[in-house]
Order: sequence, then structure tokens, then C-alpha cells
Amino acid sequence: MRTRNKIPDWGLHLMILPGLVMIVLFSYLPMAGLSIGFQNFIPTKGLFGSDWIGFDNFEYVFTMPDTTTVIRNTIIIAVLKMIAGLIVPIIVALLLNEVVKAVYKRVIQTIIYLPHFLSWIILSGILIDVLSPSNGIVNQFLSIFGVKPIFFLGTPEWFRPSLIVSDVWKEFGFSTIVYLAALTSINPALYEAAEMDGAGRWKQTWHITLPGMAPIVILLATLSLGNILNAGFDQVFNLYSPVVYETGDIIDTYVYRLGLINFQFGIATAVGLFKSVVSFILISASYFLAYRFANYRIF
Amino acid sequence: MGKRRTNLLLVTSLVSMILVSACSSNNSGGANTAGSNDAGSNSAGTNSASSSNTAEESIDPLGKYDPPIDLTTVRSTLDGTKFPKGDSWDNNTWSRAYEEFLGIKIKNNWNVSNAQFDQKMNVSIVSGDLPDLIPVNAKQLQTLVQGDMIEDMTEVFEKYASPMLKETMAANNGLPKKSASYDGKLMAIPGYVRGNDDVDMIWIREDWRIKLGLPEPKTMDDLVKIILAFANDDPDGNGKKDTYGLNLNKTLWDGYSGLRGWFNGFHAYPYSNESTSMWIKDKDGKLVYGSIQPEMKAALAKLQEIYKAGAIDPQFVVYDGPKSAENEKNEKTGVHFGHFWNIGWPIDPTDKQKNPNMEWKPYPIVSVDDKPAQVAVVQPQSTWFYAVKKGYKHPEALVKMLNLYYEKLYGETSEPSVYHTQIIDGENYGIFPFSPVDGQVPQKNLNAWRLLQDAFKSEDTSNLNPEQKQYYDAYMKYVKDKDVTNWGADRTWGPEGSYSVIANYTDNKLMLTNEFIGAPTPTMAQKGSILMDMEKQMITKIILGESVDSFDTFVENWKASGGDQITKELNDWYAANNQ
Repeated sequence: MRTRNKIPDWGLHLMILPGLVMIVLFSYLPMAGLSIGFQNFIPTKGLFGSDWIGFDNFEYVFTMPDTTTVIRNTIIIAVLKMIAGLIVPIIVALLLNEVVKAVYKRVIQTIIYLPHFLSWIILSGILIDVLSPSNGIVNQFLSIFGVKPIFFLGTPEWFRPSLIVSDVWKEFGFSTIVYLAALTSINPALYEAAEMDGAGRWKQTWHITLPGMAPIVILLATLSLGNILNAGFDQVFNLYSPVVYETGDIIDTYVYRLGLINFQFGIATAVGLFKSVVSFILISASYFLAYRFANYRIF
Repeated sequence: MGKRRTNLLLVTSLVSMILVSACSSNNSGGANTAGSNDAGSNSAGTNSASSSNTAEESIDPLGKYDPPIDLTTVRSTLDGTKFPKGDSWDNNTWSRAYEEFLGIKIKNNWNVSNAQFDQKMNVSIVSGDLPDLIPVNAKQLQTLVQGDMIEDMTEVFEKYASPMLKETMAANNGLPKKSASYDGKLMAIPGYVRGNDDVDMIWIREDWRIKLGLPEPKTMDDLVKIILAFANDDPDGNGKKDTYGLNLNKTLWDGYSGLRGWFNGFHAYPYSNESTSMWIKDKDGKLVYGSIQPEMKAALAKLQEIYKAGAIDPQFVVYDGPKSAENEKNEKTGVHFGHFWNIGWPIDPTDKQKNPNMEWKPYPIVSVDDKPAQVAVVQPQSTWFYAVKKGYKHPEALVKMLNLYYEKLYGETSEPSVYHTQIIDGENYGIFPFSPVDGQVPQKNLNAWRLLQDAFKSEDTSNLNPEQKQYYDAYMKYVKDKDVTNWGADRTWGPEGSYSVIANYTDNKLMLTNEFIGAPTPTMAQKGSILMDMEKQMITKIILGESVDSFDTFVENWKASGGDQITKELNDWYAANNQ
């Protein structure tokens, strides 16, 4: 019996192997490249031929004129995106859960999931037209209420909201599906019991549905904390312009403009390493907090 | 238990499948490298054979390799390129010609859109994954030379280059050759050398101007009047205020809807993109940076003024070139600054087919005062180069290909209707971009324009070469047969075509050439992009309404953030290179 059990375990472990090989090959080995961050890296001389310069690259990045603005923008945009990206899908999932007819539910689910598959390069072209102050549909709609045309992508105050709303619009369908899946796993007996006790729809949601979803919410929130310094390069790069740098320029776009164009790989690597370290600290912290306060563990 | 067994079977078979497929892909990789090794040894064989041959016979610039040789390269492609049926970037008139006439089989390792090409090339250089024939920009060439990754072309160029190619590379006091030489060695061969063609002119919707009864622009005041009238006086006559005057895009310096010509009109010479910046001589003969000179201020103030008057689409800050072109293709804007080719892209015959009344006319840039305006020639040297990977057995293949390209387009046996532009079923197909190497004899287009003017008058085409004859025929079709598809020929080669403007600039010495043609100096390479970024922000923000005095702050910051150092380095470079 025991030996018989061992064989499938061994087989299952073997299944991890391709994944492990991939991780070692594509995640751990390239880490050697992090040393570029401490080098005056000259591409044609390679990793071993370039001179070591210690922390000069980091110093250079942190003394650049706009670094503080850029870090602030990155954090603000990323945090707002995280919050909105957490709340909106929960609400939509709860609402969808109340839809009785399965047909409507599925149709809505599919429609809101659709933008997830479009890349930002395509969406940016669409958004520039949709948000255009002269003939964009959004401003035409607003003008019905007598609102003057707003140049969403060309005004510093409006740029961040535009980023956040468009990001949530693109991605909330995906998270909604995850939450809907979590909802189906809640034991229906709980609802029946609550109904017997005279709890209404609202009370059921509050006391059964939300607590039932809590683990998955915490999991997604924890994972998303690692993205605190990723405010979305693709999106910002395709939508921003010098006018909105003060509110919209993020670390990735800044480094792209100042570093990659000119073969400054050392600087780009230094920034990448900095971002990874911050993300690592935040993920560890949030994991600890989740365990401490919600008694939830991923591992 | 039975179930367990099947599960186990499934798992092991899955795993083995993955492993097997991994192995097999390894195998095929191994096979590939083996194959290319074979090819290498093959070509080594042919090389020794051909070198023993060349020892005896004279060198033929267009000699054919037998057996044929392989040459890999990479391509920068233009989005939206039309191909004759069955053709592609990999298989087209030019690739077939190189194989047929020279015995060179070209293989494109990858093709990417020109917008991403530089980055992709950067990555290839870093990873050392280079093709045999490497198209690069000046900065990449510098990197390749530093890394000793390319062949010295000095000798093969002297041996194999055709007289026409040699003449081209010696034009402008040998500037093309100089720009690709390091320590006196020719490390690459420059592509198109057409700096004098790529100058700004003012493109104006002529039918709008006439409709509104405005005079031709002779001064900056005239031009500003036209711009404001196009925005305010309903030039399209639809009763709505939905038009703009001046078309711009976010890059500011493009060859279409940029700002260079505007600034030049104020005797200001800014220009800074990733690879080049514009340097002029001050009255003491020192090199100074164009974008920080005081003349900039008046130009910026005027731009701000017309922006405030609603004559510039505020969305230019998010529009790239093609997007801003929609404004003109939808007939919402009537003035822009740009190069001679703007009549082929983005404005093209389809626009005139939609609205037969449409007419665009190029004008020379206008001056703000009584001093004539000089137009900036930013890149008198080629912007790209062809290098050969170190160790490739036939570096002369590149020279031979260029020989063939020049011969088929500009030589005595040239066939432009096959190799430049083909007309198939009434549609024009540009064939010349399909060649992996290109180039142009100096002043080719300007000379063509001059000859064509005589030919138009006399209707005698005996002086024209085949390419010029093609332009002649296209022009005549437009003028005589009212064939709208040849509108571009009239607007380029006609008496008031874009080359009339370039002829005007050339005859009246209205060009100011960039004094800096070298590779970036160390500080430029490190800080150049920060400074460029600052400059772009400053100009954009002032147009959109920030106080013009912020220009002074920019100048201070520019100097402090490395600009002074760059100026010093450049003057040292200039002193060393221009005795």
C-alpha cells in the first residue's frame, strides 16, 4: 500500500521538472546579468570585460533631476490602480452573482473580459480618439450636460484618472472571473441557513459572501503589492507626452527615455534591481501582515 | 488501482513527451548549427577558389559568384508597404537581381518595422547575434568599431567599388567617406547621402489660400496670417469652425509636420533627436548649440501666440506623425513644415481623388525680418551605414551589391521602371526600398529637376536618363491626361514642385549645414538624452502656454546639466578635425 502510494507521488513530482528547468533557465541564470548594474557596461565588451564601478549607476539615477517626481508618480499611479483594480471587480462580481439568468451573466462576463486581450498599443490609438477633446465620444457625451471639452491625455490633472480608469476598464473583467469562481465555492447551505434565520440579500452578502471571498481577495491583494513600482509601462508609454510628465512620467518610461536609447544598460539594470528589491520587501511584508491579521498563508 | 495506473502512465508519458520535445528541439538546433557550419566551410572553399582566380584575372566590380554565396542580413521595414503580387521583403525584384547578377543569395534573419529597428539592432549588437551584412546608425557603428566586430572595408572598397560609387563617396569633400572612417580606416559604407534633400519647406493648402484671397507667403507675417485665417475663416466652407492652421506632431523634429522650418525662419537652429543635434558657428568661430541661442525665444513666443489663437490642434502632444497626418487627410489643417517627400507620404493621390479641388504647394521658408531665412541641413552625412561582420568571407559582396544598386538605378544600363518604381495594373509600387543596401548619387534629384524643366518646355526627352524619363512621363500624364494618380510627379518634379524649392535654396545659398558630423562625444552619449528630454519638454510647454521666460531657465539648466561640457568636447573635436 505504502509503496504503491509512493509511485504516483514520484510521478507528480516529476511533472514539476519542466517548470523548474524553465525557472532556473529563464529566471535564475539571467540574474547573473544583475552585475551589469554595478558596471560601466559596454555591450561589445560583454559581462566580463566591462569595468566595475560600484554604486555609481545608482547614484547617477538618484541624482537625476526628475527622479523624485518619477518615483512619486509611479507609486501614486500604481497604488490607485491596485485599489481600483481590487474594488471594482469585487463589486461587479457581487452584482453578476445576483443576475439570475445564466445567459445574461455569461454575455456580460465575456464582454467585460474582452479588452483584456487587446494590447496597449492598439488601445492607445483607440483611446486617443475616444478621449479627443474635438471629436471624441466622451467629450461629445459630456457636452450634452454643458461640460466644456476636457483634454484628458493632455492635462496633467486629468492624465492620472484617465490612466487608472482605462486600466481598470481593460483588466477588471479578468479579476471578476477570479472572484466569481471564488463565489461558486461558497457552500450554498450557508445561504439556506441564513434565509431560515431571516437574513435578507444584503445581510447574506455581508455575512456570507464577503467573508467567503476574503481569502482570494487577500491573495490577490498580496500579489498585487509586488507591482507597486510597476505602474504599467505599455500603457503610459503609449499615452503620455511631455505635457503630462509631471503627473504621468513613471520610472520605467523615464529610464527608457534616458537609458535604453543611448546604450545605457548599466543604468537600466540598476533601476531594475532597485525595483525588484522594493517589490521583494513589500511582498514579504504583506505576506507577513496577511498571516498575522487574516491568518492567511499562501505557502 | 487501475485508475492509479492510468494516471501514472499519463504523467510519465506527459513528462517524457515534454522531455522528448525538448530534446528534439535541441536536435534541430544542433542540426541548424551544423548546417550553417557546412555553409561556412562551403563558402570558405569558394573563397579560396575565387581568391586564386582573382590573383590572375582583373577585378570585376559586378563579377558573379559561382557557385552562389549566402549572405544574411536584417531589414528595417516600412509599415504599409505595398508589394507586387507574390513578393515580400524576403523575395522581391532586388533579392532576385542580386542572386541572378551577382550570385549572392540574401537571407533576412529578421524584418522589423523601422520604428523598432534601432532597438532591435541594439539588442542584436549586445547579444552578438549579428548578420553578415549589418545596417546600422552612426552610434551603433561606433559601438561595433569599439568592439572590433566588423571588417575593415578600406581595401575591398578601393578594389571593388565602381567609379560611380567612388564618386558618390568622395562628394562634399569626401564627407560620406569621412563619416564612416575611424582612424583613417573605412569601417562601413554610408547609405543614402541626401542631406541637402532633407530640408524643411512650407506646405500650404493652395486651394484654401486662394479661396480666402491671401497672398503667397513672402514673410513670417504673411505665413502667420495664412495660419490664423485657415483656423478662423472657415477655409473648407462647411460653416463650422473645425479647422486648424498649423499641423504639428509630438516629436517636434520630424520630416513631416515638424518645427524646424518655423524656427529657421526666426534664424534659430534647434534640432535634437536621439542621434544628432544641430551645432552652428557663432561669430567667434566657436561651435554653439542651436537650441540655446536667444533667437529661439521670439520663435517660441509666436508659436504660443498662434496656439492661443486656436490655430494649432492641442492634441499634437499625443499625436505621432501618421496620427497628425489624419488632420490633413481629413482636410482639417492646411499648413505644415516638412520635406520634399511629403507629397508621397502622407499626402498622396487618394486625397486628391477624394477632393479634386485639393492642391498642396511647397514654399521656401520665410524670414521674420529682412535677413533671408536659411534652412537647416541637419544631417549632411548619411544617417545609416552598411558594415560587414568580422570574419565574413566575402566583405567585397557588400561593395558589389552597392555597385549593382547604383548601376541599375543611376548607371548607363539603369532600368528604373523595373528597379525603382513598377506600375502594375495602374498601381504604383515603389521597388527601390526592397534592396537591403541603398544609396544615391549626389544631387541626383536636383539635377533631375533641372533637366526636367528644360524637357517640359522643349518636350525633348533625349537628355533624360531612364529614371528622369519616368518622371517626365508621369508629369505629362498628370498635365495632359489629367491622370490624378500622377499628382505627386507634378508636385515633386513640376515647375512649382518641391524640388523647385530645393533648387531655390541651393541657388541662393540658403542652407546652413550642421557643423557636427562625428559620433557622439562621451558626455553626449551619457547625458544627451536627458538634455534632449528637457528641450522637448520646454518647447512643448511653452507652446501650450508656459511663460516664454522659462526658456532662460532651460538654457541655465542645459548648461549646468552637462551642456557646457558637451560644448567643450565638441569644440575640441572640431579643432582636431577641421584644421
